[in-house]
Amino acid sequence: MRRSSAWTRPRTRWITGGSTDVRGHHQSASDLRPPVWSAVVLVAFAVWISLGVLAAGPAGAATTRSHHYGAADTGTQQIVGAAARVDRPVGRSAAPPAAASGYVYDDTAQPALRSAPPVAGFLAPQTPGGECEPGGFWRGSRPGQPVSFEPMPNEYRVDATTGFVKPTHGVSVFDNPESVVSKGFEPHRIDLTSIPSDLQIIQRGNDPHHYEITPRSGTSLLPEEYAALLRRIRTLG
Amino acid sequence: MAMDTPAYTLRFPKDYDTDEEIWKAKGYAVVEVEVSGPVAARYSLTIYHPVRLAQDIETELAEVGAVFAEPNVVVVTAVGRDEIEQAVEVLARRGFRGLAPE
Repeated sequence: MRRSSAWTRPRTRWITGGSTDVRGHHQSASDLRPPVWSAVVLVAFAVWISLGVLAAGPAGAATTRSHHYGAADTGTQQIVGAAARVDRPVGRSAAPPAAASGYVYDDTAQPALRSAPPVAGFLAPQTPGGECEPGGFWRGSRPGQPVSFEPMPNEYRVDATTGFVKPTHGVSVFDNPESVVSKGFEPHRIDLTSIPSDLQIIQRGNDPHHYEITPRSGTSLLPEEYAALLRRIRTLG
Repeated sequence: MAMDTPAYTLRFPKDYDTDEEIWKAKGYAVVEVEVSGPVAARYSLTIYHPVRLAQDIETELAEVGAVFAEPNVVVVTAVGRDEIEQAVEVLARRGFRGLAPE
């Protein structure tokens, strides 16, 4: 009688790792001959690798983005302002970058207005009429008082060597009116088109909604020049 | 030997009471401490929230001048009146050692 060999049996009987042979005897996976068992292992390995690659793809990309923006979680700086120089991919947002540089140029906003991308409410364009769209910045004034951009004492820093105002500190604004109100002030939306090109708006402090208008990096502004530029900023409405 | 806490006066920025929330959001404030008695001195302290301090250090190193050097930096959990007062009291118990007088 011709003996059936494992090698000639239907393949489907072996990939389960054990089956009943033609003689009705159960065979376990350990009974399988090496070529077949190797094939099973190879197929399983290939499936495992494929699944791993598929799983690692998006996850890996997310990790990259997270790392890319992760630095911003410890050293945050979001920059916006007319002609703001943007040279570091930083920001609090964990959102993915829209471009390889981590920054986008928003043609719908003011000329040369750039920001770290998709930070909610960070760079929404203003309509010509100044209608309130999501986004923008608000400056507070004491109730009943006109809004002012005059810096308080110690609200900016001067480089002791050069005498120029540092880009590290400036007058406070917030990226939403509620933050202003919650601190006891009346909110005034800033007309971003009125921000001089030598100034920038950067996130500062532990409150992610808090920003400061500071000299743009690389500018050389004396304190009185900085104050004069601040006075050119207008609010809407 | 226990050190006597020197008498001191803590001065907050002008309008700090109304602007406290703003300074807390900023994450820093500059206060003045005037110590009286035999160790009379005057100190200007920069009170920082850790996040703000890290931001300023980063910007200073990257964009200003490759070094961050600021005297009398005091780091607290929040730049509020209570936290500042507590921090200065701790410094007072230490005799304000390590701080640079003006």
